[in-house]
Amino acid sequence: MSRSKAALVGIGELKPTRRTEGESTLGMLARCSALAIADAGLDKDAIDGLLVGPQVGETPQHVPATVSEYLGLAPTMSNLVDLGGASGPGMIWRAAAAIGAGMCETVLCVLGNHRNPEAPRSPNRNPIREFDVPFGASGANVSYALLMQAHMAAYGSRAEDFALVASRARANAQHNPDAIFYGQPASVEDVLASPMIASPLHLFEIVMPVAGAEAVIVTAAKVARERGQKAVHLLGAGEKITHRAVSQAPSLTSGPLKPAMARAFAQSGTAARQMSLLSLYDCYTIMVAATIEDAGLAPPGGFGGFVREQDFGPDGRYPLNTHGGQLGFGQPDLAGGMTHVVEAVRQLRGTAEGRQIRDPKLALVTGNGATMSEAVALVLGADE
Amino acid sequence: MSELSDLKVPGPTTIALTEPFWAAAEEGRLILQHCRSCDRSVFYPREICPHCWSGGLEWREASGQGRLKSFSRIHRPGHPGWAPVAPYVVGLVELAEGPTMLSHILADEPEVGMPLELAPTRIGGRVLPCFRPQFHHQEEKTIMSDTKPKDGWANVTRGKPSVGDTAERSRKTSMDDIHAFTAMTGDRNPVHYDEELAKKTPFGKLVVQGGITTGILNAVVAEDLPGPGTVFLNTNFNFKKAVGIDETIIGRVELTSVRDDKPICQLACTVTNQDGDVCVEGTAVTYTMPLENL
Ligand SMILES: [Zn+2]
Repeated sequence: MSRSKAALVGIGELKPTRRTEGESTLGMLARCSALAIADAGLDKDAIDGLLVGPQVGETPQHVPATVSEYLGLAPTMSNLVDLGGASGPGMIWRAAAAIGAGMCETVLCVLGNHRNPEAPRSPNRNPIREFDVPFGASGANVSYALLMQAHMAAYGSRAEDFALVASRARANAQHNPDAIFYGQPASVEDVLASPMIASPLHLFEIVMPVAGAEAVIVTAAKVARERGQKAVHLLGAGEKITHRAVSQAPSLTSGPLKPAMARAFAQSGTAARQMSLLSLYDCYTIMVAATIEDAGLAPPGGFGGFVREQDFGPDGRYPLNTHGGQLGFGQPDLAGGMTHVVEAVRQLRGTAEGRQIRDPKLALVTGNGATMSEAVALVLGADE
Repeated sequence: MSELSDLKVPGPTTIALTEPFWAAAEEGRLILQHCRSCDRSVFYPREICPHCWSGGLEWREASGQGRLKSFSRIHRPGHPGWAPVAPYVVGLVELAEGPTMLSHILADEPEVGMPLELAPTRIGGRVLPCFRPQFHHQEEKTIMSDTKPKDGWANVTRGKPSVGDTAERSRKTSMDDIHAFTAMTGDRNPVHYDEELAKKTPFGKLVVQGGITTGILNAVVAEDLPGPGTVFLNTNFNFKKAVGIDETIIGRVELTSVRDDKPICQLACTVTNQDGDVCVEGTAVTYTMPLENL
């Protein structure tokens, strides 16, 4: 076929059984993936795209990261395809689309499940549940505390500078009446005086969980033009997954956002210093610190200087999370990451009332999942 | 003050594949999967090696030595069962074998970079592979609490050595060494065999496998100082200069600390060549088993 969109070059299959005893879905996916890569005559390191299915009872969330970590993969495109019996075929075109979009070259599409007799006692039965929780490490706070402690040990970074990140977010929230911390600014001293949750993380350095929702409509640029809609354009994207559990992180001080942002800048022909808005995922203060450094806006370990020089406000050189960030706005669960997209669209349209940045042209939006393990970066541009 | 052993907290969700790991833990041991294909250690246990996707994983006893990569003192535990012992410390332990695991850290003053050792600890109803600072970080405490120091060197063949003692031995490398090491390990790196290729590398010559160079230190500690019965608990080597064929290497150790209560020494090690260039430099911890009157 001369107009082939993609080629299917390897297959793997496990012999079906009525029942399994003590199997893990992850283990079965691993064995099947090894068969497929061998059939393709490729090395597993050729895989840079991953499409997986839901895994009820073993890995309810963060499925691509958990499978990637188990298989030692670090894909630049991954997704959970949740289409029941259509999931397999659905993966094939998504793989082709992702390859066509320049996000990856070789995609592993894999589905599977065990049929062990016992019902799981807890919704999460994957390695993080087995190898972290029993030692007293439950929840994201511990993971980000470990990342923050590692940053402080590696670079001598100061608690005051991390606290300043939270204080700046609270300050921006004072321009957003919808923010959960509207009317509640916090000084560096306030942040450092808030209760220690998991050292070195203080309460005010952690997002407040809230109820909420966020939505974005995407259409072809041509359609938007025909309708005369004021559009914001996706100019570049990058993605990277490196692990799931913090113990498996390849680095504790730099994350997968670094290559993801590099790809987004390369695709859009832009650079971090050209951005009119930084809309950076901020579940914890350390996440903002690491992202500023990974974006090259400060040298490794140097975020403190950047935070002290920039006030993050709408009138500054680098407006950062003008909606207050999730640290100031609140984190509506998985929609929290979308707040950074929505705010970027507002600013690039020029409709961020009461906090509009001047001359908005470009915005960097970042998303981060699990333990600084799942990363997506977008460069958005205003209508020309 | 609540005890870890009294906690009502979730244990591991063991599956058939991971059963040996937790069974060993219950016996106070730490075992890791090791890949026969790519010679790397794997944690947590998997069905295939995450580095090379080989299924040839076998269980091996871990050294129990590690280094604290990061830690957190948990004041508000994510699981309510842990509240009675909060604040407590968890950390990331970079194991001597390579992988990193998260563990419970039994340390009052944890520091990033601190050397750790396995400390099997009962948490709730099970023994878990926890870690504590290595002995020299605890030395003072141990001495304070020991009213009558026992002789840790009883029945050791050469008896107790002293800080500052040194020993060395030398040998000449040969192509036969390279073949023997390949037979032992499967390491057929072309820099050991392809002379033309090796000449174009920064080495400029065929070189012997690193294990041959450091191997002479095994002989020094087992034969000379501290002597028969000695095994390495930990080694930390920096390879400064490659060793070629038909070169004379000299392995030298100097004792930097000797424990009273246990036959454990810390050593400074070097391997030098005939020109006096340092090829390997590092430190080691040894344990000397008593072999007399067995
Ligand atoms: Zn391997």
